[in-house]
Amino acid sequence: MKEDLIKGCRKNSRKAQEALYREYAPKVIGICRRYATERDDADDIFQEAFINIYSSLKKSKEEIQSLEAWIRRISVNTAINYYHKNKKYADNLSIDYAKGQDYNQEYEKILSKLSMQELLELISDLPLGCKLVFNLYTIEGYSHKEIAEKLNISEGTSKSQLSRAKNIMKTKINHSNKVRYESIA
Amino acid sequence: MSQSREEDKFGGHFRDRFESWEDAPPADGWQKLNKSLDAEDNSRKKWYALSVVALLLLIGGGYYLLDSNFINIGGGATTTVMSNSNNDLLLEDVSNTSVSSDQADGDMPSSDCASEENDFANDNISLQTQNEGNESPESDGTVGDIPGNDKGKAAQPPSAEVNESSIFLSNSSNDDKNSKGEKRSKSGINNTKAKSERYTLNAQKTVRGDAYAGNEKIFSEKSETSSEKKTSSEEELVPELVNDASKSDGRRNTAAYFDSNKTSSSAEAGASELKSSKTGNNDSSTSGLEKEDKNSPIISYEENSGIASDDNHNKNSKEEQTIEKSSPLSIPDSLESEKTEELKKEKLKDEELKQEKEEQNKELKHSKWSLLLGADVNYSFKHIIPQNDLLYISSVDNMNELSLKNAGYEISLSARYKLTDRTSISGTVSWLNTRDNTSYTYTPLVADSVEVINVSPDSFDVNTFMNVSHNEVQNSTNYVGLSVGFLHKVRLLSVERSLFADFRLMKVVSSKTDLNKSGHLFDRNSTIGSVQVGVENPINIHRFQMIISPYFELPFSSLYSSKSVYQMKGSRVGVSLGIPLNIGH
Repeated sequence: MKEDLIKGCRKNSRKAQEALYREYAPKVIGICRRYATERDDADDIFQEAFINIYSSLKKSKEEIQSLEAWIRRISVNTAINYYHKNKKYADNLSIDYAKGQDYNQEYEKILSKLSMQELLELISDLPLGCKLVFNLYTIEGYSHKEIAEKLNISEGTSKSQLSRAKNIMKTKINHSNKVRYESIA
Repeated sequence: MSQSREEDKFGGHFRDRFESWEDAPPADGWQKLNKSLDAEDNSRKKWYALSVVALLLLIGGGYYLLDSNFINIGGGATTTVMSNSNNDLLLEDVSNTSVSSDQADGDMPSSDCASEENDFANDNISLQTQNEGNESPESDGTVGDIPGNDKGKAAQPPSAEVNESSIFLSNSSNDDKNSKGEKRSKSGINNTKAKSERYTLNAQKTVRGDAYAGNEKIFSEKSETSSEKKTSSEEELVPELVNDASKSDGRRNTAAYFDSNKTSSSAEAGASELKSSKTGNNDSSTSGLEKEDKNSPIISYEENSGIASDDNHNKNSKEEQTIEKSSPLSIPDSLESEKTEELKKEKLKDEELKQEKEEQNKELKHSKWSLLLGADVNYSFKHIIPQNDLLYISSVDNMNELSLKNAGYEISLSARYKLTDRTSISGTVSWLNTRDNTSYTYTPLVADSVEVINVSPDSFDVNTFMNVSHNEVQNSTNYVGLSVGFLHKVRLLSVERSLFADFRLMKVVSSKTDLNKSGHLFDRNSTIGSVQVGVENPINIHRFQMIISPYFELPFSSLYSSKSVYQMKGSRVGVSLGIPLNIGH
């Protein structure tokens, strides 16, 4: 089935392309939304990701072991390129975030009770650089070295961005009404 | 340790829930995607079509080049062949004449009449001589032996000239007669057969003995031997000739070469010839001719043929007279050769005139349109505009270093139309490759990391850390270009040169970025406009015309888009080598 899809896409068959889209679009949009700040950005990345998937399939004649993992990798790379192209993030250092030290020790409990949408909002609200590093490290499982290569930054920067992302999220959790409610409760 | 465990737990919440998270794709996601895919396909098809057209034009141009070369070579060869073939034809004419004479009854082409004339004259004269040999043997081999044979007369120039040339003619006829006589006396072969053998001999003489002197010697020798042998053979010959109807048939058959319609009366003509030949003097033969001019079908043939008409006779006789005066021993073969030479010259002149006309026609046809097949090398100068973004390019290490890494190439085919003698317009299809190698040092504007120090209740200090890095990139881009322009001829440094200016639109076909280890983005602008100016210098190498054109090209926009690490609005210089091709044949 997947081989047929791959073969069809390599032959530029529109039917095969549509079938691939129908099957993997939900996963791809999930990835895109994690990396994008806004929904529109996520849609742009999504569109570009599928064009890249089709063109990569046509260009590459190598055997694809896991189509899902391969599509995931292409989508993540597209998101990173989008980050490079748009360069929207102006990672102005927030002093508040930088000096924020008041961690709520009970955030673990709180996190488990947060909905997917709330978690996604936590990620989306992160500065772009921090969001990229957090997504790549925490969810995609890349190492700091790999992230440094991909984002053209130093390893130390990757680590600090991750740390910063977590601090921001924890701070947000602590300051959110829900967190306070949970804490009181 | 406990902190890292906490970190893992924190991340774990997100990993577990987002790793395979799916969301609803945009409602019109596929429609948008489909549209963009269609647009991409159409764009690709369009450029493929353009590439195919350009390729076909190139192939056509190449074919034309080869073809025109072939035609030129062929033209030269044709000329040579033509002249050769003329020679051949002329030689063949001569040989055909001889061969056809040899065949005696064959279908002789009408163009061979002139040469046939001589053989025919020989034949008739020999007959006359034989007749006269019977009736007045003392006249053999003398001027007075010129027969009143109308055919002989017709074939030969009128009386006076014939008298002079008849020395040889009668001798040669004696020779023929003797040979016939010998053959007849030995093997009993009839007269016609013997005559055809004589034709064969004559033909062989004509073919083999192209050299006049050789012929003269041969004939003079033969005339000597024939006069010796004559006395023994003439007695046998004469009665046969008188009674031999085949003799007149032979003449008729020879006459049939010239006019097959008039062969029916040849027997009568033969009889009248024999009668007139018996008069035995020039005057009577002339009068016989005059009489037969009106009545004889052979004479009427001669009138119609336009070869033996009186005017032509006069002309021919004058020519022959001059030849014979200069060379009393000149023979019919030599006259024939003179004539063939004259014909040859005339034909050559005609051909030259034809060729001139053809060339003029060709020039007229070629005068408006022409093609130029060109190839060139170019060098790209860089003018780098750093982007106002995350990277600060502090220095470019090889700004305009002369290196092959910055050299590209171009292949083009342009069609030109001449507006005036000096001004032309042109349209060009080209394949352009540009390359640039850039080595630069950069610093990210966003700090890699920060260190907060001296934190106090009111203030704190922040140290930022930014890596200074180095990157080298080798970019290569292929474009398909379409350009329009104009050329104007001017006289520069005492040579006619053409100044040209082209406006060009280039579309990216493919691109490649190498050595780019840092992952910097080099996104090409898909379409670029540029203006090109230069000078065309014609050069001739061994009659092969070429055009060398140094040029300068300035693009209107950057090669790289604003998304790239930097923009580059580089100019290009190059030298083009072109082959002009005329069209219209």
